[in-house]
Amino acid sequence: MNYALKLNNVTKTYKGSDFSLNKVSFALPSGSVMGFVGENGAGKTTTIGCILRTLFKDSGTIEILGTEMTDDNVEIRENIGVVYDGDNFPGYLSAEQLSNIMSGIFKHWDDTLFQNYIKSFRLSKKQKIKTYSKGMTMKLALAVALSHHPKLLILDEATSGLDPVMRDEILDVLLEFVGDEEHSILLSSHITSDLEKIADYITFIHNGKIILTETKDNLIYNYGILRCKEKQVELIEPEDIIVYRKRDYQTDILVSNMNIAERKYPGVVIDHVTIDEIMLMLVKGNEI
Amino acid sequence: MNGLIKNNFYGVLGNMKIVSAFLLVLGILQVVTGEATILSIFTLMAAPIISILAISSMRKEGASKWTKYKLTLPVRRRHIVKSQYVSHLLCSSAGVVFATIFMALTVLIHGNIYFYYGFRDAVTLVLGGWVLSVLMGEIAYPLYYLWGEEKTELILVLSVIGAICIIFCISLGVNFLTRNEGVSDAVYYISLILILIITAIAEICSYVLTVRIFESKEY
Repeated sequence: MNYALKLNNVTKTYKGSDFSLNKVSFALPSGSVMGFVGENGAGKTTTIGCILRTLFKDSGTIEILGTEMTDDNVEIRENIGVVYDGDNFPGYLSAEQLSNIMSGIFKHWDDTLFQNYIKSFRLSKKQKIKTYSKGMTMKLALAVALSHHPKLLILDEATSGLDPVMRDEILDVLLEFVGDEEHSILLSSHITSDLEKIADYITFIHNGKIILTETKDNLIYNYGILRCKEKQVELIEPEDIIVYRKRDYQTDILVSNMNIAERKYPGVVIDHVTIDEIMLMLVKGNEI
Repeated sequence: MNGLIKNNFYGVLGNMKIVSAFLLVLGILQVVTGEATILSIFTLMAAPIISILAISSMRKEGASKWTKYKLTLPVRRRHIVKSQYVSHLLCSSAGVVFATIFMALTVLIHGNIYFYYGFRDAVTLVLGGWVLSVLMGEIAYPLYYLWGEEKTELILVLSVIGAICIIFCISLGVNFLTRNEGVSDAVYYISLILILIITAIAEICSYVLTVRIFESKEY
């Protein structure tokens, strides 16, 4: 299998901070979308910083399109499109000026494609970016990220703070992009509903550590939560429990195969689980 | 690199309109009045004033994630720094062109009532402004990458003071070597070339230092 992105035991520490990335490993297969999920401060932006070399990892390897990126390796960056949350570009520029700048930076800058995005996103070419709304700046960032024909798109919280209509529009563009088998997306977000719409894989990070990487379908269709009463908890075998969380009168137990669990524990209520619930269970639950 | 220079150009463009208008008014005033004080100040300060725009535009970039975003583009870190030095030199040179045009017009209209030593005094003023402007950049850029955009005002002040101090020291040195006697044209031009060489060496050292700082900087 080809991977657009592969992280192996990546660590990163900050001076004067307790936070660190702890041997982060995951792989994004080519042609797929990976949702990178975690609460605020979990390590998503740090991981993306290490991938893009805006931060320097302490150890481990990061392969982008099969190659470890260095500062000199500009060819790899020709194939990456990036969208950060918030203001990606200086406010004094207009979309037209931005295109002018990018055409002098990217070898394969496609001004026609950029103009098409600007038109379909209903953005003004001459308007200064500082007068754009948040949704408009995110659309512009997406247009820039896509207009040099990248193979890998990395979005760091790009949909946060946008209304559902705007998010839906952006997700449609991303789906169109990933229609090409060579295109891949790493989308960090804590809005899990977005990831449920477009992601093929979900990777959970918590306290700088990857706690789960799975296909989205497996998470949604096979993972489940056992709602156990006090006496039922003792019946559950430890190897079936990923994490558990005690509530007032029940204990929720996350299992990886609800069909097997259903047969094994017939008296216990089992619910399908959303990505949000899995994240909550993984972050707030306890391991055996 | 081309795109980075365009980016820097757009960065100074907004303020450039206001500064150009100011310099134009001052230049016209100089040409009309033929006032020697205005000519000295204008010729010496045009380049530094325009180059301040190049330095201060970095603060405007810092207000967004652009500095971080640029690192994800297919450009090397040293090329980002190089583009800033090139832009700064272009701004300084634009100031020199501005000053030279208005100086020439003033001398044409009012005659050479300004320069005791003739051409070489004119060169001193014009190149003095250029060297001051280039030295300001040489001080400002390493400090910018070391301290960040939030200290831009302090960096600007330090770069102006630093550049003036360096020029003052060089003048003292030249005066000491020539023992305050009249300087012949030959000695004058040798001193001028030496000053330009010192400025060029300082430019290279400053660039290398800035690249080193930037290459270890995280965003």
